[in-house]
Order: sequence, then structure tokens, then C-alpha cells
Amino acid sequence: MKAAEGIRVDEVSMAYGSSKILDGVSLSIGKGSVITMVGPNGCGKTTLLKIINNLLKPDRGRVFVEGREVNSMPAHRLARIMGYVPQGHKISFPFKVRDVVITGRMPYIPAFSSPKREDLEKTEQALVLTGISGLADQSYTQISGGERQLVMIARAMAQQPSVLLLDEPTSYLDFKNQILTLKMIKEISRSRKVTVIMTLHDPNHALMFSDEVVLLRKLNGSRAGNVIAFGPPHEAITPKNIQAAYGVEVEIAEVKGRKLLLPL
Amino acid sequence: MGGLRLSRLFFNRRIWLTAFALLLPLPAFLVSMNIGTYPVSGPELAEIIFSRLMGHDLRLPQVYDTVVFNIRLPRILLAMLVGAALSISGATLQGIFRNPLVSPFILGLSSGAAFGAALAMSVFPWMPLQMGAFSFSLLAVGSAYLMARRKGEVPVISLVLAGVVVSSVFGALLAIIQFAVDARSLQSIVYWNMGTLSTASWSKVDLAAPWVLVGCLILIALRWRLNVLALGEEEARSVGMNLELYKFVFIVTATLVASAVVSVAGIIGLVGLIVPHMVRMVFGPDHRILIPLSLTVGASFLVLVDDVARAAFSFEVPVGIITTLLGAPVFIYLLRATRAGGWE
Amino acid sequence: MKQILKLLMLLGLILPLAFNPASTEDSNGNKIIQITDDRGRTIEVPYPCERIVFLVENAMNTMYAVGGADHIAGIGDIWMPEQREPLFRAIDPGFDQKVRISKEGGMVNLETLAKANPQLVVLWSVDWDDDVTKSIEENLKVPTYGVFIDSIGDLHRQAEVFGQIIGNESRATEVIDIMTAYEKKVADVTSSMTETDKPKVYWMWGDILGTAGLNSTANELIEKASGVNVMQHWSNETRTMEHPKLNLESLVQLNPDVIYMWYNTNLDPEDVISGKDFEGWKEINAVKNGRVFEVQNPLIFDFHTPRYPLALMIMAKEINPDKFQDLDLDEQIDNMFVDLYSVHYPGFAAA
Ligand SMILES: Nc1ncnc2c1ncn2[C@@H]1O[C@H](COP(=O)(O)OP(=O)(O)O)[C@@H](O)[C@H]1O
Ligand SMILES: [Mg+2]
Repeated sequence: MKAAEGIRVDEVSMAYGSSKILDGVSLSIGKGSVITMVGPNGCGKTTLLKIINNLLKPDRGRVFVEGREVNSMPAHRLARIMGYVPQGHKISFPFKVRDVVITGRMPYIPAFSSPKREDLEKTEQALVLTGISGLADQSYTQISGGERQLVMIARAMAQQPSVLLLDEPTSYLDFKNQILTLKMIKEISRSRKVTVIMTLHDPNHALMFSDEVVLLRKLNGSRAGNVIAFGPPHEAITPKNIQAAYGVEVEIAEVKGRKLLLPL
Repeated sequence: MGGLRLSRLFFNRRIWLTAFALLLPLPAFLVSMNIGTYPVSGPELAEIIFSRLMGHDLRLPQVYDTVVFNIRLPRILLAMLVGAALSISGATLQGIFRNPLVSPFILGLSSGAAFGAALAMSVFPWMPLQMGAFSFSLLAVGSAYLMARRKGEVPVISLVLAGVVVSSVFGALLAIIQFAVDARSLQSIVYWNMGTLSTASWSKVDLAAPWVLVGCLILIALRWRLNVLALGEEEARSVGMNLELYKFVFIVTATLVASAVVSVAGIIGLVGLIVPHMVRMVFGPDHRILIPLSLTVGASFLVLVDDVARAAFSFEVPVGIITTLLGAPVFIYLLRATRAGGWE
Repeated sequence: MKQILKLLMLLGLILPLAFNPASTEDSNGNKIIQITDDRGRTIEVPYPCERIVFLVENAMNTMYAVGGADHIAGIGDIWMPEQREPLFRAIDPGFDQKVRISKEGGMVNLETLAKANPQLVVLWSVDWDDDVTKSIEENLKVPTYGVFIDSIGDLHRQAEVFGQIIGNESRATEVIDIMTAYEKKVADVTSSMTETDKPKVYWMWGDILGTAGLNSTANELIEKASGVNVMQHWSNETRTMEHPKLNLESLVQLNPDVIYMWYNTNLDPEDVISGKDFEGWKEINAVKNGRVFEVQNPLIFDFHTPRYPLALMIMAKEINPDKFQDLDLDEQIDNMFVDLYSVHYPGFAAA
């Protein structure tokens, strides 16, 4: 094990009913880095993310965070280490943004208790960190999809995690908000020394914003495994790998020293 | 600067409003003590209460003391217990189910209670009615819960469907009893199903109060957890909540509280649905406020409605009929306002 | 409205009597008779009527009293059968051979009813076209006689009509005389009582706060037993209903001297006097003085049958004990059973 290892995924396999989704996935992720997972719809990105967060139990294999196996930890212990931002989130009740974010303090609040001053402070810090202090008193049901994404990130940051998992954080956002959100995530990772694992559907974003990329493919009954490539962006995202993952022909262009994926 | 002052004003208004809702049971209680078909004037009432408190002899006929302390007071307290219990239970279950149209009766509690009461009334006369109602309401909710449980998880949608099934099964069982019994028993079954406080007594208060008190304390202590739950199950688990444990605790507590009052007062409709909803409309969905205010507003609401039931006509109108007639339009309004009942 | 209905019913009864012999002939030369039921509806039945089904048990007691045992073809549900059936068996050796028609969810099983091949079906009914009436008349083409007793006069008329349809008017007259004679034993004592002597009585049905309104047989019973129904003192207009409900504060205010409970398996007078659910009742005179009574034996205390004078005597003796010291209830009960059914009570041995 590397000293700076944050997360290790060890031979994880998972099936829903008879259809196998993940087969022997192993990853070793360094502390403080930004990892993106890309791959076609249904290849198992969300499933893997949930397994890492112990929301799903894999059929086989184990996941370690900071050297400890996730499913051996009490839930609130794990929640102090790991925050999770689900994909596109809806709620039925018009909670205030602040009340949503403060639920991230859950792992620190004893059973018969409510948030205290310290929790309120941490909540305010998370709001500031994600730049939504101005929304604090607004109703969650009345803000935009992009703002909601930020609220959920703030909620996860209120957990004071060392690992942040995000499932397609850009999927409901417009062009500008996609870029702003990804920049912010990267900034949070750098300033807070937080390991980020996020799934993305645009390989170009992965090229731009990640330290390392996991490129996944659908199993479709094959035994070749899910992981096509795992490494620095320009090594993982090559025309050949993209072809293997998506079945699409692309070429890599370079503009002002930055790589860009162009479909043919 | 102006904005700040405005928001501070708003803040104050809100505090004022919250305090009002929190203290509402007090004036509701005082008003109700003054209402009744037996003529007791304000000064007489004061004297009756004063003589009890001070322990000196009442200068009025003893019947005044009986009317106030053995008829009016237990009925008022029972109305408050029932209103509080149904409302807090409704608010809790709405949070767990993340649906504002859920009532304490969603998991088959009322049909189980109705069946148990009918069973005690007609088939097993040795069984106290309250015991029949209480045990069968728990049995109904328990079986809905177990039916919905798979691999240690109890998905909300399965719970709702199981509740529907359990309700219809107990409804059918009740129908069998109703077919088999004579007209007079049938009448008392129907009457019980409408819910009434007219047979209130200290012993009923004593029977329901401990459950309600303990249940309300638990729900109040855990109320912030409902905020976490109300955001969604996965969301709750990802912040480290032991989801199934809390769901279990909340469902058990909400059920015990509601069953305890249903077993002494019958099925009083729609209180558990509309009171939490009204509170939410004014004070927002934060359960830290919603839960205690549902309790106080629910207690006040039902005791005031029961004032109408017991004093407006001098003959008895079952209070359940009034709450249902009042509640139905509110419910329809909510149904329309929330679109498709809020299910997703 | 009710008065007019009664008047019409009376007319319907008197007119045929005035102008007609009891029976006429139909087009086929079969004898038929016209009668009017408690709903005020006139029906035609064969004369004499040989096969009658009683879906209402209390009216069957009248039929037995007027000597119509052989005219009973079928019997519906009987309340407290362990108590009543021995009586019927003692009067009627053919009782166990009669077709028994059970009810299923308020509806009569028509096929079993058809087995009895009735010429007339007697049932409890307030309404001319309730579901049971309709289904019997439409499907079996058999007339129905609706029984609805809300006064003692209804019972006298019932004996008269039942005598007519089986062609035994003379026995019917005897039965009416028996009822009148027993009733008179109470009236002779109470006639000397002044209004101020009469206790205020609260009648308690099984629902506890439901009582006998001013238009009810129980009300008539209270009055004939020389009591005053507390409903007389109630200001609410629902008091004229058959079964009004009041609230406890109103009852305490009405303050009855006597509480008279209908037969109640869940509740005894002791519960009302000292039960923990009845603390609010303790200042009521009846409770303070321990004057809470319950109907002990609904076979004897049955005021929807010709035995109603017994109910009257029992109640009269309980609510006015000093006036009826000399009335021996056991003797009266036995005598009346002998007079009505020629059997002794208790035991139902032939007289
Ligand atoms: N709870 C489930 N039950 C059955 N199949 C599921 C479930 N969740 C996901 N799947 C299936 O598993 C596959 C992988 O899903 P997911 O991990 O969400 O993929 P991705 O996030 O990469 O799009 C999909 O084919 C999906 O239909
Ligand atoms: Mg996904």
C-alpha cells in the first residue's frame, strides 16, 4: 500500500439479478487527487460510487478508505470521512437551503440532539465554500438545478469529509455552470486536501479537470473487465480507448497546449 | 440597512407567531372549560377550580364540581390528547414517507383498530374494547411493515402498498363481523368508527396519556432526524444515518401514539392529515418546529372542534364527523395544490 | 305527518270492517282478505292464510298467542335463541320442522325463503320499498307485511290483524282482552298518583347516551309505569325522535331520579353507580340513590310482543316500589304465560 493512498477498490464485482455490472474492478486512488470516472450510460459508474460509499454491498470484493474497510465502519464514522452527492436530487418539502445543508452534520450529532452552534458554524462555512451563502434562507424547491447541485455539495462538505464522491455533478447544468461547478470542485479538492471521485459523462471534462481518469466499459457478458484504462487523463483518454469504451471514432486535437476530444 | 431591518421585523413576527402556536393550548383550554351545556358561569367556574386547588369547601352544589372535574375536564384533556397524538403522528409519518398527504392511518392502523373494536364489541365480549382496538391496530401496522420488509429494508413505496392491502383485508374482516351481528351491535360499531369523545372519562385519559406522553417525548427528542430522513433515504444513509433503525423507531412510536388514542376515542378522521399540513404551510417543513407545533396546534384544534360537537347542539354530534367535514375540503385543496398527491 | 299516517291507517282499518265482511273472492274463486300493515300499506293475502314466514321474531309471538302455530311456515333469525326457542318448542310441537331462513349481510336468503313457499312474509320494516321488501315481492311475488311497533296500540292492532288472516278473530279478541286486563293491574294503582309523585326516568339504550324519545314504545312504557321520561324536560327538538342522543352535561342537568337500562352485556347498574368510567354521573339523583335498573331478562321484558304488560309491571314495580308492594311478579308472569300460550313460566310446562 502506498503511504498516500486514499481509497483502494479491491476486486469488486456486482450483479443486479442475473446481469453482471461490475467484474473484478480494482483501483488505487491517491489522497487529495481528483479522479473522474467516465464510460457509457449503464456501465456501472453510479453502482461503483455507491459501493465505495457503502450504500450498496458488492457481491464480491472490498473497499478501503484510509486503510479501513468501509463496511466494517459504523455508518456515522464513514460519513465523517466520506461525503456523497447523488445525481439530480428532488425533495417533496420546501426546506430552506440552510436546513438541507445542516443535515450534513448528521454524523456529528448524537441521537437525541439537534444541531448546535458548532454545527451552524460549519454549515455557514460550507455555504461560503460553495458560494451559496446568499441562498441560505431560500427554499430548496425554488432554486435552480445548478444551485441545488451546489447545495448538495455544501451538504457533503458540512460532513468535513476527506473524500468527496459526486455522481454526474454536471448533468443538469448549463455550459457555464458546468465549468464553474467543476472548477469549484477542483478548488475544494486543492484547498481542503479532499480526495474527489466523480463520474462525468463528457470525456472532455475529464481531460480538463482530473488528475487521473478511470475509463469504464459495459461488460455485456464479456470477461474482459470494466476498466479499460486508469491513469493520467492524456494516457487514459486516447482514441483507441474511447473506441473501446463508447464504440465511437474520435481524434485528439491540441489547442493552445490543451488536448481536446473531437468526434469524427 | 433597510433590508436588514425588514428581515429583523419578519424574524420577530415569526417568533411571535411561533410563540402563539406553542401556547395556543392554554387559551383553547380556558375557553373550552367555559363551554358546556350545563350552565356554569365564569365566576362559578373560578370558584369551583379555586376551591379544588385550595382544598376548601365548595359553596355551590356538589354537582358543579362533578360537571367541571368529572365531565368537562376529562373530555377536554382527552380531546387534547387525541388531537396532539394524531397530529404529531401524522407529521412524523409525512416526514418518513416524504409525502404531505400521508395520515397516521396510512398503514392500516384505523382499519385494524375498527376490526379489533368490532371484535371486542360483538364476538369476544370479555375483551375490553380498548384492548381490542389497540392490539389490532398494532397488528395491522406490524403486518404491513413486515410485508414490506425485504432483506432488512423497508422501502417506502412497498410500505404504502402493504398498508393499502392490510387496510382492505381488515376492512373485509370488519364487513364479515358487520354482516353477522344484530342491528344494535352494528349501530355501535358504526358509531365507534365515526370517532367520538362523548364517552370521555378519567379512566380513558389515564389509559391513553402515558403512551401519548412517552411517544411525544421520543418524537420531539428525535425530531431533527426527521429532517435528515425527509430528504430521501439514500441521502440519509450517505450522511451516516442508520436508516432502517430510525424508520422503525419513528413508525413504531407514531403508531403507538395514534393507536393509544384511537382505542379510546375511535377513528377521528383527517386531524392527523390537515393539522401538520396547516402548520407546515405557516411555519415551513423544518421538523424541529413542525413536530412540537403539530402537537400544540393539534391539541388546540381538536378541543375547539369538540367544543362545537358537545355544546353547539346539546345533542351529540360525533366529533369525527365534524373533523371529516372540515378536513375534506382542505384535503382536496392540498391534493390539487401538491399535484398528484406528491408521489414521485 | 306521523299523525296523518296513523289516521289513514286507522281509516284503512275501519273502512273495510264497516262495509265488508273480512274476506272476498278473487277472479279464480279463491278467498282473499285485505289487510293493512304498520307501514300503512294495504295488501291482499289468501284467506285463511296458511303459510306465513316470520322474519321478525317479536311479531311471531303474537301469532303464537292468537293460536296460529300451524300457520307459521318459516322463521328468520331469533335473537337470544337459547332463551326463546324453548318457549316456541313448548307451544308448538312442529317448531323444529319449520324452515329456518338466515340473513346474510342484512339480506334474506331468497332460495331458503322460497322453500317455505310462503303466502305472506312478515318482516321488520319502516319503509315501503326497502331492499328486503322489494326483493321478496319482486322475485318471489309474495306480499310482505311490514311490522313497525312504536306504540302499544300497534301491538293490539297486530293481534287483531293476525287473528283475521288466519280466521281466528275470537282468539285475537281474547288476546287483546288479556293484554288490556294485565295492563289495567298497573293502571289501577298508578291512576291515583299525582304528577309530583312520578319519578323522572332516563331510558338508557346500549349506546349509553342514546335514549327513548317522546315517540317511542319505551316512552309509552315509562308513562304507563307512572314515570316521566326525562326527555319531557329536555329543550332540544331531537327529543321527539325515536332514539335521540344527548350529552352528559345535559343529562346531569336533567337529573333523572331513575336510570333504566336496556339489557346490556357490557354494563351493569353497578358500573353506572360506581364504575370508573362513570365518575361524571355521580351527582345524578338516580346514581346517588342507587336507583339504576337494568332489564334482566329480555324474554320477559319484551315490549314488542303481547307480553309487554309484564315489562310494564316490572318497570312499574322498580320505579315506584312503594306503590306496587303487593304485586307478585312471579305469579303475574306465570299467569300471563298461561293465558297467552298455555304454558307455565319458568319451565314452559303445559298448563
Ligand atoms: N437497483 C437496480 N436494480 C437493477 N438494475 C440496476 C439497478 N441499478 C442500476 N441497475 C442497472 O445496472 C446498470 C448500471 O447502472 P449504473 O451504475 O447506474 O450505471 P451508470 O451510472 O454508469 O449509468 C444499468 O444497466 C442499470 O440499468
Ligand atoms: Mg449513473
